[in-house]
Amino acid sequence: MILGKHQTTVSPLRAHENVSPTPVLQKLVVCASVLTLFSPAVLNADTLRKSAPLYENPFDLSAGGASLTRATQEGVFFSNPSLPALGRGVLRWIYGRTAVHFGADAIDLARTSFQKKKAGTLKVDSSFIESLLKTPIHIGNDVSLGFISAYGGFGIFQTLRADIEGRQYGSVGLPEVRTKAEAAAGLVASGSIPVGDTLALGASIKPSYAAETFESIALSDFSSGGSKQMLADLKTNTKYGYGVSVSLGATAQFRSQNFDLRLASTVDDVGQTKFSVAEVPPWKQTINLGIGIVPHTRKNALHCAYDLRDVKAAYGEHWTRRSRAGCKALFNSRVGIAAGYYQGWPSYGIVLNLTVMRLEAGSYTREFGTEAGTQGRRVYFVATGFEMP
Amino acid sequence: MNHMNKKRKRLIQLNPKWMRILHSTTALSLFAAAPLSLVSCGRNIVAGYAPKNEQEKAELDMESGKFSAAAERLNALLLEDPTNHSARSLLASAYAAQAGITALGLIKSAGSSSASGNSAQRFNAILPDATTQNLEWMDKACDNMAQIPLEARTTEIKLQYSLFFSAYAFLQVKYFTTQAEALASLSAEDATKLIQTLAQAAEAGGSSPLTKAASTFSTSISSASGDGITKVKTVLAASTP
Repeated sequence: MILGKHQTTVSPLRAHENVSPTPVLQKLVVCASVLTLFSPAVLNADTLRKSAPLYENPFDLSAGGASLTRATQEGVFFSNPSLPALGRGVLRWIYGRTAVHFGADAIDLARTSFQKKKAGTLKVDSSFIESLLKTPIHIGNDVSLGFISAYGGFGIFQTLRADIEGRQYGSVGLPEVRTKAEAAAGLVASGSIPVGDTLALGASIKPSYAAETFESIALSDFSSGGSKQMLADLKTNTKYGYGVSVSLGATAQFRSQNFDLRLASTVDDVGQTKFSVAEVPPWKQTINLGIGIVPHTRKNALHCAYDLRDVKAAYGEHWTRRSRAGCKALFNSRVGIAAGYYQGWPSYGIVLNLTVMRLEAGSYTREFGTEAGTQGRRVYFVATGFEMP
Repeated sequence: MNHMNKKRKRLIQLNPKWMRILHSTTALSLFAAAPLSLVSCGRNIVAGYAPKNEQEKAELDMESGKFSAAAERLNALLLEDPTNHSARSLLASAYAAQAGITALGLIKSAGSSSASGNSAQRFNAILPDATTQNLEWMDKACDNMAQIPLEARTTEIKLQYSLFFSAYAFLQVKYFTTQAEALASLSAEDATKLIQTLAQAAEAGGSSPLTKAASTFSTSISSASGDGITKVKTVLAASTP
């Protein structure tokens, strides 16, 4: 029922307990160094999965995706498993959430088609097919259910992102349809412990099934086999398998009466996540760093953060694609607004906490090009769920 | 010890006035971020620092109809790496697009063309005006397609190759058959060029109506009587609308 309960305000009575940041910083650096010992093997196989977490809470996405130092609900499992140890109280949430994501272009096309259908002018002719070819479709959904306490939690999750994009001029100049989809479903369990007053350590384990497909079909494929060929190719190129992903996290929090500073480091896919099927490329180990500041009162908090994911660039992405920055303002644990820059693209969102029910809505932009700023696509999301404190 | 604690507390607990300023600043930064999203018109704020993938940018230029910008990027890329065959094929597409010819357009139009008459007359309707400029664009397009070595031609490149050469051949036919003075002044060089273009269209094979028509047209020229230029003139005269 309380927004981001585990990361919220610090009692003024406890402010005197703060210690000098230096020894804690040293501890954090040592922890990060130990974590970095799990260096990934050099892998040639490429995967659609990059530096982004396996699952991202929609409200966190609307805050630019900077969630290493503060994550919303189930987001802690995936962004930083050490976070629950930093809040107050033992029992945090029993939660359930469903989110849907739609690309803005597809929404526009659907709206136009609906209006035409209503007016009786919709024709499935070549111009309609051409508009389909020019309209990228993005859909996604997330489902999660679980329990989080100060010492960790467990849950189930499912996430899917799918894109279909038509190009009049594909990679060699011919019309092309590109299909890309990633999905994962599984269990997640985490444990977190405070170390002294300022440091928290955590770990999470995610046994899950993952699937991905990437298919680029040029006009020649259509002319020789049509949509059957496309489906056959998609089936051939879909890879799926079972793997167990392990993440480690460490967070340091330097608190005062009205101002907190957080530093966080996580290692995702420790030692790389291998799958039961050899064709599925392993998920590489990534090391992530984040900094966050939290000016707050007893009931309200503002969290501004910057995350640099995959600092060792295991996936070969430029830093501009690995950067997330943004702010979340939480008022009286009832209303939250967020704004930020996700890989440099603007994002924003709102969350309402209505006793047990929780509503989230917002928008962010996904980068579909290889580099930041090349081909951003606006995505809208709506999420609903419950939480019981 | 108490003294130390007090000092530490003073360091961390800021003066209330400064706390108010800090709060206002951070709150302002948040509320500034949302309008900034709108002011920036959804622009990416780190794009300037990101490396550039020129080929991908060229593809996006093509999608938004900026064909000359795409051609400029691709030419620069090919200067660095002349063996980038996908870039060369895309460059051919950029030149063809400037002539008003696209692979999708050719397949769509050629498949649905219901014009009566011979193949040349059928394709006159779906091809752009046979201006000198358009012929030059198609010449550049076909020249780039021809530069792709045979072993590097994928199924897609082969299809584009046959479509562009066929379209270029029929554009030449359109030029000579729709302008009386052009046919009259047809040179041996022009005739050779047309025969070569038709031969190259047939070389790639393909099953599109345009490619098949090019093959038929080529056969008509071969089976006409006389020397090279006479054969071409005879068939072109028969194709004049």
